[in-house]
Amino acid sequence: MSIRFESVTKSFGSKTVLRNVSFEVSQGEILFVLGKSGVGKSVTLKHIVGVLKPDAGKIYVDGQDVTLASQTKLSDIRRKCGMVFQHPALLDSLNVLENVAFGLRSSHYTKNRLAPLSEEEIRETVIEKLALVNLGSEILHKMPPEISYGMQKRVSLARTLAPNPSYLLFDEPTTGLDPITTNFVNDLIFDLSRELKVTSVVVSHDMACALKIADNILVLDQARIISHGPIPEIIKSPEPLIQSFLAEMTELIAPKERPGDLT
Amino acid sequence: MSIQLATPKPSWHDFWHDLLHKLGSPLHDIASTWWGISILLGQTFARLPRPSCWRREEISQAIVSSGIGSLPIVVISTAFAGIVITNEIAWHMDTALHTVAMIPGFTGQFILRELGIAIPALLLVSKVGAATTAEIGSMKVTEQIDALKLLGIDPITYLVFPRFVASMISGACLTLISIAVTLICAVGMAVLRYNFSILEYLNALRHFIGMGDVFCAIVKGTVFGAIIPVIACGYGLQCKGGAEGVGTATTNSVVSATITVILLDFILTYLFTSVL
Amino acid sequence: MRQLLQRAGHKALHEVGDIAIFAGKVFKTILSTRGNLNPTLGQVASISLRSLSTVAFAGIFVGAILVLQFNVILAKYGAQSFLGGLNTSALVRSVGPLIISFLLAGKIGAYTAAELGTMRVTEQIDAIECLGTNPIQYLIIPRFFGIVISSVILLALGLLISVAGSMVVANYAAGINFLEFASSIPKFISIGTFFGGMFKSITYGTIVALVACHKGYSASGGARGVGKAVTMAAVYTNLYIVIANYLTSEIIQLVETWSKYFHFFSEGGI
Repeated sequence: MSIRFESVTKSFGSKTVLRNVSFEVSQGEILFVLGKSGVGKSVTLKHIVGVLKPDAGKIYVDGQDVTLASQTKLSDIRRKCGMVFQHPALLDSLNVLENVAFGLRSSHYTKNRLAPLSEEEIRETVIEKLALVNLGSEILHKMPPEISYGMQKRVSLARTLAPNPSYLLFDEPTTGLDPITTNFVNDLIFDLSRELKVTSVVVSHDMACALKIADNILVLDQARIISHGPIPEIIKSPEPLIQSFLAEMTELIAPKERPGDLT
Repeated sequence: MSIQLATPKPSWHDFWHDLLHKLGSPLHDIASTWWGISILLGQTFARLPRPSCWRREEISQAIVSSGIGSLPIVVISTAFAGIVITNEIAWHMDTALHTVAMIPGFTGQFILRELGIAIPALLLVSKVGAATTAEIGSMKVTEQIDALKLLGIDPITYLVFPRFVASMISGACLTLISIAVTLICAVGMAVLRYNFSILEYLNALRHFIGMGDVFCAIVKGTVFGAIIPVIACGYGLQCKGGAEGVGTATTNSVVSATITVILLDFILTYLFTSVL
Repeated sequence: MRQLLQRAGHKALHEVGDIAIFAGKVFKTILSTRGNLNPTLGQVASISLRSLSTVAFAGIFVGAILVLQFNVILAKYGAQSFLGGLNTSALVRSVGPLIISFLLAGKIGAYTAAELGTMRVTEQIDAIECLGTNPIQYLIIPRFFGIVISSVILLALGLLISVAGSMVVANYAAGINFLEFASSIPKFISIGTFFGGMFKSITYGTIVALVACHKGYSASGGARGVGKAVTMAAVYTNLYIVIANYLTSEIIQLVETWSKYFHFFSEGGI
């Protein structure tokens, strides 16, 4: 049970964002896809759920070829993969309860059940998932513009969790968040992975988060994979980009010397 | 097990408060937007006599984008309009008087007085007005307008005034071009379908149309050209709130500009028909 | 020059192709899913209520302008008695639908393009798709039918108000009183005019709906992209309406010519 990329190539016009990319994500692992901004990381995620089609190569989810999947098979794959977008992407016209419940009402979710969920069951599921992201039931009737950005991001995570997916795909989950919420989201990804036994693919440019919770790290640069492996391997990687990433990180939290300091 | 949320019971006081807010809030928004646009109009006019505001490069750029950029759509639309108006008037003449002799005079007058001016104006509203609001609106929400102010550049001189001047010039020119195109297509249609000869048609035109009509057309075109960019920039500069704000501002700008053009058309038509 | 024309030609083909593909997707979805009517009715209600005042306001002035212009022109022929019929007929047959549709292109079309464009750019449409709902069924279909139905309703009301407005202006500014105005109307208006008007309304409404939904749905690129989508929706809708005005007028005239042979729409009645 896994996700597998085989020689995937994708270009937008003259710009190639993925060139001959192959890797595999095994069940239950947390994979961080790192790279500079704009290098093609979100594109990778969109290929997994079939929102984008590659120019060449194949993508397999649980052995099913996404590129050739029919509408029904694609719906199955989407049911299994929960995608958390870069923006909260909450529907402005619905309140929090309806937003989180959205995935529960869609036809392909109810197809697999003997009977559609009742309103009561939906409400209970929503409250349960909101609790998982540390939000209470008092926001159920609020509209998205009425809650803070951090809360919107957590609601969008609850929305993705509602249909109980077996894969979680995160697109820059901590970008634009303050350090406290960043840590919270990071820990959440880790806990969810372990508790719900889901496989997580996290696209990010935050190496600190990756070093904290990842099982494996995949580094993309100029449309190619330059490194893929567990944390100790990455840290020892001879690639200049990774080395400078790591060096900049430690540099970042060392205070600068000021004139007049008495050392 | 069901969880009840405690919601406060609505009271009459809340009801009236909500109602007033629902009615008053959009009125307040409209009023404040138009107040801003009026002020902008005044500020733009104030820059007319100042030579430092006449920035040649920005003005010529704006003329190219608003004038020449709108040319294709104006030409195509007015060509079709000319064909349709000839057919319509022929049908009416036929139905009422069972004669088509009046077509040249009637069509020519109608095109010169109304059709050839209103259609390009309404097209300019979408082509120039919407584009300008979209551009300036996205500059506003990405804080570029604030950046310009901090650099000591006056947004009105740099952004609004060039478009104002350019649009006035484009408006006048496009009006003349559209009248010409509409007339040519109308003549063509009359010749092809209703067996007029070109000479016949032009003679009749000469009989009914004078320089006064052309002058009125140019005045109308200039006025429309002047007001559209000011409204567009007004909405753009007051734009708030990210992608959604840009969309809302552009929509409202198109609607307001269309209504303003129709209103001004009425006022100018009334003036010209009662004075001349 | 040649390159310019070539590029323009390419662009036009792309545009028509894109809309055709989108229209195909929409119609395929209409045929393959059975939704309920509630979202559509909701859209009709909200669109109509929102646009009513604007259409009424514009309608009055469009009628007024036309009356003033026709009055001057007819005076030169001494044919002012025809003012009522000519004005009403021109208004209902071509000028009214054209100008009011321009207005609707802005009020409804731009609004829908902005709404859908914002949803696209903030990834809401992707989210809907990934959560297992067909975004065309959920978003586009209610809006498409809502816009078409509202356009017909609003155009009908707008034309009525225009005629009323022109009657009033004729009375006070041109000295043609109401009776005189109304008396010349039957000469020009018949049942056929009504059907022609309906046909035009539905066509223009469909154009507004299709272009607005397409431009909004395919927006990209942040705030700038939304602005661009709205602009293109407004511009292209206007262009297509003008072209459709020509085509529908031709079709209506053809029908009228045929019917003369069968005496259906003539003054004598059926």
